[in-house]
Amino acid sequence: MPRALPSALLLSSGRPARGAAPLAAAAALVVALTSASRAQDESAVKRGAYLFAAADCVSCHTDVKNKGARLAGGRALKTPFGTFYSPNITPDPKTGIGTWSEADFHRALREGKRRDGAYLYPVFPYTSFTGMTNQDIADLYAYLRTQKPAVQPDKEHDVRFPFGFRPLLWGWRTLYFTEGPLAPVPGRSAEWNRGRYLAEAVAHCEECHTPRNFLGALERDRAFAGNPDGPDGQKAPDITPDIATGIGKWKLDDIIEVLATGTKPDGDFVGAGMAEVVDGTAKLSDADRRAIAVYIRALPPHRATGK
Amino acid sequence: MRGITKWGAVGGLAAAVLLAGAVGGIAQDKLAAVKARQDFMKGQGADVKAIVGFAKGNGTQPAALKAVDDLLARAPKINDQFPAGTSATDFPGKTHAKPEIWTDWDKVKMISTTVQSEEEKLKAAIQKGDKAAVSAQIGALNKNGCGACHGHYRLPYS
Repeated sequence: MPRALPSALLLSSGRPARGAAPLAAAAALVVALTSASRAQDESAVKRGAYLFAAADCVSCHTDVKNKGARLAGGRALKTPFGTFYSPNITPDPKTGIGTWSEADFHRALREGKRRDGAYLYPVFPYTSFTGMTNQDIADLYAYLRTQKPAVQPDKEHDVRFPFGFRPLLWGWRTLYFTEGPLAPVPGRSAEWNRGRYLAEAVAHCEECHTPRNFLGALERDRAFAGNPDGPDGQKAPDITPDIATGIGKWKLDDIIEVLATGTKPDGDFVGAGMAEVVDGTAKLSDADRRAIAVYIRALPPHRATGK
Repeated sequence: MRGITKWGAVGGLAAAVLLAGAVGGIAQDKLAAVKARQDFMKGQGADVKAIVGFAKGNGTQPAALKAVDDLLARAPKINDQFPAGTSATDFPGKTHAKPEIWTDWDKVKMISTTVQSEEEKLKAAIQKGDKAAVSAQIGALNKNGCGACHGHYRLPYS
């Protein structure tokens, strides 16, 4: 802006007519503000891309198996309640979320509600995303806006009776949903709190690694004890420090390595859903991977009661 | 007549015993192949471990080079580790190899080719001594190579 002003004055050929200078100054101000907000947008998009990787949004929202367009949804997610199909989250105005405002997006993540106010199924892990900060939700929105639009209408969920009736979710929410954001725990280190925020709210680790009750709600008192009946019928292992069924023998570095490259302490690679997760966690900073590992290592141990 | 029946019975029994023995022998061979595959995979795991150790600063470059050379020597033998009849359906509880390995054989072969090319890049990174590049390349080997099979064609461990 200081540089823009004199050049604007020069343009008015040295003898500014009355009123021209303020006009030029105003124009310069507009230019400066626009570029400032663009710079702000760019950094928001960059931060959003980082969160997008940590949350591994792409895995569920892309139907890789059937060569679907990136983020256009349609991936089948088999659960004990039926098969859900992820929606299109590209900025396509008709079939994606192109007409969603930031407030609409915010409400989906924070409150688990569709744009029309209907309850979303918790197969969309809003129960975790609700813990995200306003800033992070806004950044994620900014990133999604910059993605390539793809035309692909959403598929109807194929849900078992009576779960197809969405208003029933009201009861479920009353029992099991606590709206965020996640408040830091006082008395714990900044690193642990950062790890908790990433693991719980953004990367939603519990959604796979915590067992669920008969209504599909997370059994929080057995957090991270593994889920024998995880997404797509996969088993998600116990990742608490339990010596017998968990990862009690792992060092901090071992957890960091899994998040960085997917390599387990014995040199084996993680498979199944975790390989997709590692795609995202590989993009995080060393400090953030370390924070997640610190949080996971400090979990109370639970023995898995798997099948 | 009676004698013939008797001898027929004995012969039938002998044939049955032989057949059972042969089938049992084949099953034994297949089970041995399953074991050999597991040892083969564990060997690769140990190599990866040595290389990760180098990238993290608690292993040496010569050890990592030796390990990657071993991986490269093993890469052309990966396909041979999967003879027909050694899936988890054939040996429940003994192996995690999904039967889809054999129905998607062309895809599996492509992945093992990728394993080799990613390992060659890994060797280059180790030779350069660039630990960050080694770590990144381990990630690529996982994603495009080993993990591509372990993600789709291996039953999960409980």
